[in-house]
Amino acid sequence: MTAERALEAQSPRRKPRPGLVAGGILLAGLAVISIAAPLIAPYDPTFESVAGLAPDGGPLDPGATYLLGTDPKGRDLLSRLIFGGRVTFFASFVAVGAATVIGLIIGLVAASSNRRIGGLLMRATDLGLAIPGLLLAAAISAVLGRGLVSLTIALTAVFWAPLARVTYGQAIVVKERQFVVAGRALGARWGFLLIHHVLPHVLPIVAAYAALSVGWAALFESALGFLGVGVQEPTSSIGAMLGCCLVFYRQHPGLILFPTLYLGLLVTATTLVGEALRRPREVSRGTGR
Amino acid sequence: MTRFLTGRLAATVITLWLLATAGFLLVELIPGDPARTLAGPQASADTIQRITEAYGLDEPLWVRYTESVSKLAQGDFGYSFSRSEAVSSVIGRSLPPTLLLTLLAFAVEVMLAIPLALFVVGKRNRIVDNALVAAAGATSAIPPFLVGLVLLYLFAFRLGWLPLGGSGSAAAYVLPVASLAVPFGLVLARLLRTTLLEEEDRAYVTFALARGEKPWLVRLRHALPNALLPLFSVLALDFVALFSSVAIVEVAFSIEGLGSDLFDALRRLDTPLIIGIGLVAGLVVAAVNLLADLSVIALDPRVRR
Repeated sequence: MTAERALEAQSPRRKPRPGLVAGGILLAGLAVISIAAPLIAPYDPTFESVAGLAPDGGPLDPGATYLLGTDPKGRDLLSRLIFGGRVTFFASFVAVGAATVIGLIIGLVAASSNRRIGGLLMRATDLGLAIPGLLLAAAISAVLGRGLVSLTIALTAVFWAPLARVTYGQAIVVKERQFVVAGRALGARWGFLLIHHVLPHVLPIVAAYAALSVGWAALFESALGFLGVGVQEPTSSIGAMLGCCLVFYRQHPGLILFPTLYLGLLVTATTLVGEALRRPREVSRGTGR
Repeated sequence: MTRFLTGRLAATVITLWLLATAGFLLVELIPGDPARTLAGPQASADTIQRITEAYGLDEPLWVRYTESVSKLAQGDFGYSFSRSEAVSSVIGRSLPPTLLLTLLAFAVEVMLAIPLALFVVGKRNRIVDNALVAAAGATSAIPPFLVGLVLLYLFAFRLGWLPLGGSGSAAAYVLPVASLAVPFGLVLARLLRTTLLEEEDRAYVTFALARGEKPWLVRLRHALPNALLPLFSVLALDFVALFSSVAIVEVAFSIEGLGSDLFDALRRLDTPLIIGIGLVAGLVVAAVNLLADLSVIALDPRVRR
């Protein structure tokens, strides 16, 4: 392991990566806002106020009292955005974390077992890839009821399969490389080789894919919320904010625009990080996929 | 070849069977008595009893399972209670507009990506390269239905150039198709640029250039077909992704189609309709993947063994 590390440190791939830095800062900023949401948000995101409604009963446009305006129920849009972003970010992050662990286990077990078990696991993965994610998530939330927990489970159920696929694809390449074959010839046990020699070479590409997946999960949550699946009212999330306001957005475009901008920032951040993690690997990956 | 095809067909059948099973389990797992849901809140115990018997809800689990799967296999998707008509007739009406929108978006995506990739590769310029990467990143950072809503606000509501929604005229399709085809097309152009650049280094390109052929002609006639071939599986995935994005874009543009049906069915928990749409979507996905494999076999003599 140390020899591998030393070799990698020598290779000329340590260049400054502006994408990683910019994406990391953006992601950290959104994380801080999400964690500190109760301290930052100017109002209670679920408080329906008469003062937050226009005389005609519609939502308020951005102004001094309500910086981004209010939603059709008179709730402060900025507070709902801060708390809603927190829900979307948290659900995506936790779900992709769980999906990564599941994907790593399935991918590594499939790559190290015989053809029958490995084939079975990968056919199951293919099935997971074939089922339309939207329907799967809708079905899960129909069974478990709406809410943050069922949303997170649904996102995990959608995202484990591609991560298992990526892990498997990388693991079967790495396990044929010379240092692993040499380790086997020296009599090392497979479990040891898997943890100490295969995993370190699988993790970077999986981490890159996982970073990208966090953004995709947030996009997915927004689509689910738009269709009225996902968290339960009055909880705010990016998807829920988009789903509530289709009728009003022509008069009040901010209702759609501000959640869209938040989503765009989050996805751009995860894409920058994911792409930056992936790119140097692809160049040095001489053995192909 | 035949072995490969039978294998793929078997995999498709198994996938559909598992989808049907998942649909059956979904109905079983949803809390509540389906007979009571069907009968409505004011129904008497007698009515519920009769519905239970009529639908065979008191049969053992495996009897109901084989019954429901064999019905689905025969194309009997059951009855949509929120629409008061057979699921198959709802889908028969909604599938064509959804497929049309998907095909249009797919065609525009490809027609946008190929010239764009050829242009960018021809320029060999960092700024143009980075512009493509940035544009692809920016448009895919928000989902197509939101791109659609923003376009709808600008071009239909503010400027009034295009209709606000529906599917009555050809103009109504411009914005939905654009909101799908532009983000997908830019990402595809990026991928195509990479494969085109790989082909540029091949000996046959150098030879053609040495013979004095024009660079753009070499790229178009020799490099492009070879660069497109590895992208066929990506194209199949793209079509599938478009198909599910169309479902949501339909809702944003109030177009009658499978997506808006799914939207209604989810709101009213109309499980027969949800399962029917799920199976049809699974069938489309399987058919597209099979078609992509077949076209690679047809186009690439090396695969034919």
